[in-house]
Amino acid sequence: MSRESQSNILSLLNVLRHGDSFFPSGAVAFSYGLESLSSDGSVNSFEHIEEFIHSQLYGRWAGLDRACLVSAHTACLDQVDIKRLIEIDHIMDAATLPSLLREGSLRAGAAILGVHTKLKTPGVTEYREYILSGNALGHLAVSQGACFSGSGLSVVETEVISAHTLVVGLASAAIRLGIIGHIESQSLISLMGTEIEKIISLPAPEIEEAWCFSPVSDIAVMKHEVSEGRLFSN
Amino acid sequence: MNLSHYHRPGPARIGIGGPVGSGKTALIEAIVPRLLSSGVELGIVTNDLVTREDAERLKAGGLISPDRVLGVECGACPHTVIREDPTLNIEAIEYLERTFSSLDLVLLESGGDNLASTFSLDLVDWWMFVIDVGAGADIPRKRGPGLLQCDLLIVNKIDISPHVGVDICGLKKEAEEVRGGNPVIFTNCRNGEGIEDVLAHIRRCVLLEDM
Repeated sequence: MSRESQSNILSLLNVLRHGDSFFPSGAVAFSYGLESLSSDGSVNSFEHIEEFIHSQLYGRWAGLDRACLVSAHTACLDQVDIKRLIEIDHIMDAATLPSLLREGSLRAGAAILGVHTKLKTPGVTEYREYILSGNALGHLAVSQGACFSGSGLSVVETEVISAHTLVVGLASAAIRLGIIGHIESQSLISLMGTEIEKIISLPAPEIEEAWCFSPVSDIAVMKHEVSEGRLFSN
Repeated sequence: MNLSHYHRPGPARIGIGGPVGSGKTALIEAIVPRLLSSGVELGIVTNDLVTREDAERLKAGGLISPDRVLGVECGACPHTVIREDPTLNIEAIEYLERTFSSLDLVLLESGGDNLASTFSLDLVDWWMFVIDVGAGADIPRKRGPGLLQCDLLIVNKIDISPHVGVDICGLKKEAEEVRGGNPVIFTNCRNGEGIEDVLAHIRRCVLLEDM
């Protein structure tokens, strides 16, 4: 086996490890409004789930998460630009209306940063210390950008993992909510792979041009906030 | 007892697992006042399955300051968040540690488990598994990692044994046999029976008061 192909295999394994739902990230606790939409009957079929995940990818991830992710990854390439990470965090925070989405993003960010700190991923500890001292926020997309950059993942690999784990997390939540089965979930993940490829084939928005439009899920998350019985955090 | 994982700074962490309705919250309600009265600084994290009822019950009960009780949702995966992916629970515990620097002990109540669930030792230092007499006399015979691997097995609701047709002596014998000599305590959390024995284990094995 050539050294180049060995390197490719290690790179592929690195992507698989970070994109695996087995990687501890706290993702099982979040539904991004899906539980609320399921409870009121708005989402109750494969087609509905497909539409919901599609809207999350195009209405939120492509314009906001991706912009923050890519900017954070870039800010950590040579040495960690904490000031830039703080700026990106504030943009993410300002563009996220429902409080449960903001809180969920911060908790998920803290979870992934906590794991990577313990794994001694380069550059992560300093950012986390800023967060723990109240001088940075630590949203999920920003934390992913920092952690994946420190883990040696390319920006494209980082984008693929972020989008894929979002889709898998939502498909998994849909199974637990009893909306789809395990085979349907795999069809869905495959379908969404095509959409992820389309999105990533276009340039990522500049962070200053980040945008988000996901009113249905935003309202669902707000309704979830006052729901008494809930499995998911948002 | 293997203390090799006692390398983590900060308060000790106890996991409390067991099936829904076995009496995990009642156990916490029974031990918290006794621990507090002996000067132990406490925090609590609960993993309610569907609601925040356990967290709210502990907050509203007046046993402990509400800001020392955190609820963590588990997305219908109560086992996952105490074993394969305990990250959100770890973050909640570390939040309590940062907020209350004098904490001695954090209690983590799982969201309700079957007999296969176990705690990650990256999350807790020591853990109890609570079953109850009402679930039937054959529970110890079913074994299961939760029941076998816990540091302390608690068999709760011993007061109802005559009403559910469970021979408490037989249950005790089987529980002790399957545990291979590891501790089993029989409790009635409502009247405090057995609770001092539980506390003695916590003081000796977790708070290391006899060392």
